[in-house]
Amino acid sequence: MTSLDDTPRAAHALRYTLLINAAPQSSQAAKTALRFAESLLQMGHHIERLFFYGDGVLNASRLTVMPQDEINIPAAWHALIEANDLASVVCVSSAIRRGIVDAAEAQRHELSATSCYTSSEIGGLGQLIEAMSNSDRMLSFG
Amino acid sequence: MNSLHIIAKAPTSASIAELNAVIDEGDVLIFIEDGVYFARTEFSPSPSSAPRFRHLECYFLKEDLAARGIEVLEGMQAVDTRGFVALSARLPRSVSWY
Amino acid sequence: MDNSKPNKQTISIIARRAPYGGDGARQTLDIVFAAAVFERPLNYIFIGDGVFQLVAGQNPKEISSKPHGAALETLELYGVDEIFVHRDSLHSRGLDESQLACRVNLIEERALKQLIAESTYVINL
Repeated sequence: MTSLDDTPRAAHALRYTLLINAAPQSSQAAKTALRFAESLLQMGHHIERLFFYGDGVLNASRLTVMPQDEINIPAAWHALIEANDLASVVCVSSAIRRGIVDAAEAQRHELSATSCYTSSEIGGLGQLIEAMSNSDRMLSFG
Repeated sequence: MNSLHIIAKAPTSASIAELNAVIDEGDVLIFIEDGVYFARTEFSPSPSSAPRFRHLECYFLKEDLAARGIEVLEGMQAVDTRGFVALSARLPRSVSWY
Repeated sequence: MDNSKPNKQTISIIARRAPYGGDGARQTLDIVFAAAVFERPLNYIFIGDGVFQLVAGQNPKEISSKPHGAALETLELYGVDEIFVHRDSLHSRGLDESQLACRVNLIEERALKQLIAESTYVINL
């Protein structure tokens, strides 16, 4: 068995866009993406933007409650984003149809509550395209 | 320039025809999540299932192997998440399969 | 920035899911539209069950969905003309070019692998 554990840090840091396409509750993908993002930062690379798309927008729900012995993935993303001052975007068309709204969307659609963590911004797919253009790598998880 | 293919589906759920159509000689594969069950079809000798990707550079995500009780078999290369990051940095692009 | 990246960034977007049963076909198409609006060079590549998205004569009114084939027909207006279909995927599903809703380039496996190898980013939802 070989391992890349002791691979030295990349000669130069790379910029990554991560596309998260799965809900935290229905597959392992969101957890994989979270671990990948944490390792990426520990290794000295940069995250240009996290982009939550499709069911992935549920990763930004601040109304998610998990049993005590299970990881709360949306809370973990929120902590990672805050701690590292990451740019994080939730796709608007995916979000509003899944009940993920911030104050602006709640007002626009006359809803009485908000559900999106304030650490993520609700935005359009153009922000995915733009982030990719500024990145060396784009990885998607779903 | 070669690609890193990130395969997250078990052999019976993945479309082998699609993988074959896109994966090129010299590409690198990393099996993650249920994709690590490819360890059986690729590295566990069985007359009923010929390996399809073993001739390529293949890696398996260690945490996902451990979670599923799959041992690292002869010839298999396992990496942790940091190794996964290193592979993604090494190859100029990735293609995800889920 | 990474030196290995070509100056002209090309995004390859792979469509490999049938429409209607899941959201993947639509999500992929929306990314294509966004990339087109931002005038990014892109390849829209149909493989596997993704070729079913292209079939002409889709009428999903009774299942309360938007017609996917009709949306594909508008791609030309957005300047998306690099539409590729993996020939074997099409033929192995009993389809041929005459049954498709829009004009496409049929490609063999070798050309498909080449498109991927020349792409800066690949999106495969």
